[in-house]
Amino acid sequence: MFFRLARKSLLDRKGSVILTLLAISVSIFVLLGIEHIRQQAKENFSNTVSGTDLIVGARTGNLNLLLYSVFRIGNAANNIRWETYQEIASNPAVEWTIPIALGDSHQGYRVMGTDAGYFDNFSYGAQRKLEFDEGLPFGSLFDVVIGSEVARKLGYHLDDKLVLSHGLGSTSFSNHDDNPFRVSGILKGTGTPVDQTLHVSLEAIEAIHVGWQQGVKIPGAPPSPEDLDINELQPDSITAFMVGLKSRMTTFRLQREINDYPQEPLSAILPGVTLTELWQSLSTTENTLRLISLLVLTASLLGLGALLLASIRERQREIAVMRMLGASPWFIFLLIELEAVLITLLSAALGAGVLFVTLVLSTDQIATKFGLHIDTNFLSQNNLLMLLLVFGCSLLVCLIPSISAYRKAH
Amino acid sequence: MSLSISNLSFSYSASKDTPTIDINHWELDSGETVFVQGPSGSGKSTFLNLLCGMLHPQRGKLTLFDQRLDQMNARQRDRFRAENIGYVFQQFNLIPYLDVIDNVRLACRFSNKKAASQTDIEQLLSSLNIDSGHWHRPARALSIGQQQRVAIARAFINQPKLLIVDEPTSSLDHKNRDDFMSLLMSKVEETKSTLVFVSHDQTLSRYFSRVDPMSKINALNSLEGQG
Repeated sequence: MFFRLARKSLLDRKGSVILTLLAISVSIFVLLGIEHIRQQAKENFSNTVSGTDLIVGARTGNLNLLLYSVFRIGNAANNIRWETYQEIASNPAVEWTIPIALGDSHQGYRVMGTDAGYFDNFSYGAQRKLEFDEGLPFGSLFDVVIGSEVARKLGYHLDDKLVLSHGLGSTSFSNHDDNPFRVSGILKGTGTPVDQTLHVSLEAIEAIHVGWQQGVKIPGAPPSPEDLDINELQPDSITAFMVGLKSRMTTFRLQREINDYPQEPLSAILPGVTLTELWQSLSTTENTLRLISLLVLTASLLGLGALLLASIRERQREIAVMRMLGASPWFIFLLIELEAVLITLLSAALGAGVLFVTLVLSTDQIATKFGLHIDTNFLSQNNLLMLLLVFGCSLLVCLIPSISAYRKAH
Repeated sequence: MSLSISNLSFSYSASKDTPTIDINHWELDSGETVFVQGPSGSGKSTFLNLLCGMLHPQRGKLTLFDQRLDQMNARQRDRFRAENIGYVFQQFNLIPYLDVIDNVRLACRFSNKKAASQTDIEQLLSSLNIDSGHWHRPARALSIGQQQRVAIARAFINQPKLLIVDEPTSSLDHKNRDDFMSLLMSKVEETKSTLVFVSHDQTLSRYFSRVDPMSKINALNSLEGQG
């Protein structure tokens, strides 16, 4: 009867209750959404690269180098000469290197030129290596190895042909359509930007740009694959490279050497340290978003308090009737709190439900556009605590109308 | 003896010595029906609130069915009221958004007769000429006459020993008023309840075995009357 009373009383004031409920739902949606994406982004970012001791690029900001080399966000301002790369790669402290040549794309997905060592040496998450779902690393010149998401979204299978575009837009007008590529391998999903990348050999990057100058195709007969001599396709420069060291002890020494490299200005970063820097630089934004979502929550809960307080005035007679039937002032107090809990519960269900649907519908978009893999399960420990906080606050705010009702009943 | 009051005094503000109600002695036999008559401002409502334990007297004895209401705490008085007293207000007796059945059932919620069955409620409603078509309609959809009859049903559902009725007919027309009174009195007769009925309408006094003007009950009133 207690529950029924609260339920019918709320149904009786449908209009204002629904509006308040929507306001709280929106705030719960924002609160949980921000918290979830924040956690997921952090997890994603820190899982993106592991086991790489240094990343080297042309002199630039640490964050910029990290973003374009690992996350495929933004562009390099400059390239590194091939000789420089060779010299550092042959340093006795270096165990392996992965060259990275960027600048082309395929339907909005970035193309990375590298060498076969990439598939052996690159690792992500908890020291996990790349694995092939199907096929093999590139064997011949115009082979491409595609990330799992590229395969899934664009529907590519082994041995399919595809054409790379010059530049990074998803609708590029300058296509490398003289030299179509064959899918030689498809990687397993990693939850990192690798899934959105097409990998080709450095020589292939050179090959498709033969007959191009200043990013424009020169009219004339394009070279056929047979005309291209693999030995002449030595690249002049690459965008960046990753370094694995034999001993971690030498990391800082080598970093200093690279930063002081006399022939050309270079930057070497420690990915882990730069990730932390990145995170610290984002923490202000993060805290601001959190603060805003908490303020939105406060506003909506105050709205709930105001709604219930206003209802007490209308319900004075109702309270008198219940008192006369033997209801204690506590009963009246708890009735108002129960109404608050019911509204909050429905709001939480609605907010969380809409968030879930939104995540399901937008994970692909987010993955493609931002390289973030967002899990649709947002009920992390943090978010459950957030929900508890919401309930606590709603009970707290609704002490005001409840106490008012209690006083009226006394 | 079902009700006995002696040397009772009550004031709304505890600090002041000017009481609102001061009753030297007042008694009511079991099964007696008394008509308390008086103009507004004579302390009728305060008197009724004292009888049902909503207000607590500053001093004096108030015994109802051999229990000292003046010695109970707030929680005990709420409990006592739920179990022993049926109350009908002047107007707005019902929770507007609950249907007729739920309104009656709500009275059972607070007494220890929680098990009042659906059939008990339905029988009671039928005996008060409340059409079964109205049982599942929200109280606010009923006419005032119908609402007052549902209020009687609710007052009787816990088989109260004492029934308090406060100006129940003031918003009813003549026909509805007569219907209400005859239903109420036949129900009281049937259940042998003790009834305290308050009204300023002198014409209703013919239904009652005893008529007490408020001025006779409240000593303060009689003093004012003399002065």
